[in-house]
Amino acid sequence: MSELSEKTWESLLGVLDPNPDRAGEKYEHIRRALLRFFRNRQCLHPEELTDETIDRAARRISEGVSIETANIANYFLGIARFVVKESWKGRPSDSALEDLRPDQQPRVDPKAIQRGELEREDTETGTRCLTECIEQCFPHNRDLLVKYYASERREKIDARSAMCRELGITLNTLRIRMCRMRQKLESCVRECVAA
Amino acid sequence: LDEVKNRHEKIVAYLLGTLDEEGQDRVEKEYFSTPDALQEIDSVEEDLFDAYAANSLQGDEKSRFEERFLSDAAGVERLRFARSLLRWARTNPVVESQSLFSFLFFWRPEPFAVAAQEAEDIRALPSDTSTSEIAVTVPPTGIVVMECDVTSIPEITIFELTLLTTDSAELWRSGQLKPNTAGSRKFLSAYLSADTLKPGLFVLAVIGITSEGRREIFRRSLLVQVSVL
Repeated sequence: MSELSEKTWESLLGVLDPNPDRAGEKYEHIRRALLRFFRNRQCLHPEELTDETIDRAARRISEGVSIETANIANYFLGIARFVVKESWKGRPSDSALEDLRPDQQPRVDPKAIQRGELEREDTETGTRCLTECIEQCFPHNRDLLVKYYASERREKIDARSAMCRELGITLNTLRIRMCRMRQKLESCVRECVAA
Repeated sequence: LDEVKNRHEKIVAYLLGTLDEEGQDRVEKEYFSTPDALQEIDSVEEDLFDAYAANSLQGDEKSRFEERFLSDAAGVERLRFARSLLRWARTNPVVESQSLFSFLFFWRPEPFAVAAQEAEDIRALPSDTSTSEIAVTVPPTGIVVMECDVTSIPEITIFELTLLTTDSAELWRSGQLKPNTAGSRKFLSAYLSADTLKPGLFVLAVIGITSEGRREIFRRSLLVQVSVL
């Protein structure tokens, strides 16, 4: 997060929600939404632009600018749209690889590196970490992961529909729940491999 | 189902950069408005990683995916994770004996007058997802103690139990419950008046309250057949 004064920060949280815990949750949601927005617009530095957007919104709020929107998050979205346009203006124009002089050409082929990365087999550590993390994070939901991820193509749709019927939830709820499980698992595996 | 499919396709188009400006605006407004909509975008993005890992993306979709998601180390790492997860899931069979539902019913003739260990166990039928009915016989009056195993939902710390008709009308709802623990087992205990349980078919639902304060159904029994002594 960028350096906001305590007063500015408090004004921002106060506008988000009078309850500090809920305000914190709303702030996290807005931050994640901004990152998603800038990444989807293919910005080079989404974290910086997210901070810039939050800074601007917070300063305006602390200056007493009235917000004419029922949903405060949309106010941030409006600012983000300006910020992204500004970032495009300041960005040097792209050059095709073929147009670069020989001394400007990259020394390695990034696509070859990418292919190598993709073709590299998972390390033993990665596989061990995945198994350990599943046991650690979801000792009783292991079968849910198997059912959700094991099937392919048409079978996948049938298998997931059956899971929805069994659990009494909609497909969307199932997908969101599995997404949360996966994010937790991915973070556990990342930490395990790094350790 | 068609509606879900259309929505999924719209989000895929957004993520791959092929949605028109108006469509983009709509998707963005949605995910700025609610955490669930943002989580939905995350989940569709993961589906795309899975589809690429399973070689299901073709042509323009495939090249757009590579361009937008595999141009940095983080994206390549996510793809590697997706491939590992798919491989793991396809080489690990489901252990069918594990039960998702486990409802236990006890009856005590007088509210709170009898210690739990002396309670008469009328029926203790575990139910898994393939079982269509849990049969329960209750006294005409008194208190029914309902227990529900939530060991497999570690991420939720506050729950509610509800009793619904088969038309999803709510008949009864517990207050907010924190799980009790016994060894590694976590379970909820709730009390309801036997009068609430008329003869007939009901549905029991376990509702978890997420850290964001949202209520989500985590489990639902298929049917509970109640008869009265």
